[in-house]
Amino acid sequence: MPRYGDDDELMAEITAAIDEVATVPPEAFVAARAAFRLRTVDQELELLTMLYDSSLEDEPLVRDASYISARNLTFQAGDLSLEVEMSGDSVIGQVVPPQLARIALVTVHGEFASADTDELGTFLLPRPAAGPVRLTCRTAVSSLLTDWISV
Amino acid sequence: MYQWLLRLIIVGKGVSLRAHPDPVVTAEEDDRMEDVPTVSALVCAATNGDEGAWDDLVRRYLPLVYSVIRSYRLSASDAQDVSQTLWLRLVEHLDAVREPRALPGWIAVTTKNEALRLLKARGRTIQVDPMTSPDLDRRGDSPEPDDDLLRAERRQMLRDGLDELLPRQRELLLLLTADPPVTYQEISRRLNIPIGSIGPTRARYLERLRATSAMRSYFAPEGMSNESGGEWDNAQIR
Repeated sequence: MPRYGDDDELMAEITAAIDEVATVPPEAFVAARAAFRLRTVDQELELLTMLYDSSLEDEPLVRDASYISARNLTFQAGDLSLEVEMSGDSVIGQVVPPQLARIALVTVHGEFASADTDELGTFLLPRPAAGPVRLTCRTAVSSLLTDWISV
Repeated sequence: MYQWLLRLIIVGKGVSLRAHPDPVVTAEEDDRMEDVPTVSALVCAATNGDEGAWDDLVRRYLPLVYSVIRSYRLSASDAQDVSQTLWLRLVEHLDAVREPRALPGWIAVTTKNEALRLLKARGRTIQVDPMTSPDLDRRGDSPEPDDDLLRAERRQMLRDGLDELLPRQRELLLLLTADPPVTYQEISRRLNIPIGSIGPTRARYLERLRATSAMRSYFAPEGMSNESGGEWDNAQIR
């Protein structure tokens, strides 16, 4: 690891470090600041953390992009988990153990869509084409929400 | 704090540099450093609802986020989605930050993972020919698996160090890195120092930079290292 003992070398790295700042789009700064207003203040809501994401699996190098299938995610809090499959323009999922729940898909602009699960705990929701989303899940006994993910 | 970073973000390099001449500068003054709020203090304040502290964290680490994003060929809007997802996730996990020194590492790794996710979601999995890929060649040469992340973290460390310097110290170093270059005559005029002493002053300020806590702690030995993860590793916060 470079220790930057040499002045010219250090100046070169400072230049690179500063250049990185200059290329940050100002809109990104506005969006990052706005994230603060979207933080969860409701202490009743429990965070479902992501346990699994198929898109982070080390697959063999893929040459045929059309091969890529739906993205599967698992979120968990306590003994409740949420299995989610993101594909095309929809989100299919299941609450495990199966139970009735109200599931909503939330974007930075608020609720995008919501649906009730069936007896098997499954649900189907439309999803936006892009942008960060999260799911909220209200069961008979608890209110949970997932981490944000980009779709 | 970090206003100079904000200026660079909002108005870009070059035009943003305005000197704050400080007519009487003694060597003693050169040895002082800015009293920068620690990352712990910012995290703590933001957790308690202080939006200004959050803005400081954003100013401080947004360049790191973009530095990681830039390693991937994402569209401008996908890049913004990755960045926004990172900040949305961080704001929910602020109270889980136990080791602020591990924060840059977490930010770098989480940003990288989000970028990879989006690449896959877009069906643009990186297609690699192992025979010709410069990426693989480079990895072969390098003992570090995450060279790009480490480079991004080192540059973050330098910006943190610059932030600890006094404004005039930082100003000189920024002027010397400006693009297009600023002449020594111009630097002399703006900072009110003789042309002949710009070189020695630069050397002195670089020494100050090496002595900042940002740089010292980054290069601190064992147990104090800045490896990604640490107590606040990915497993814990996912």
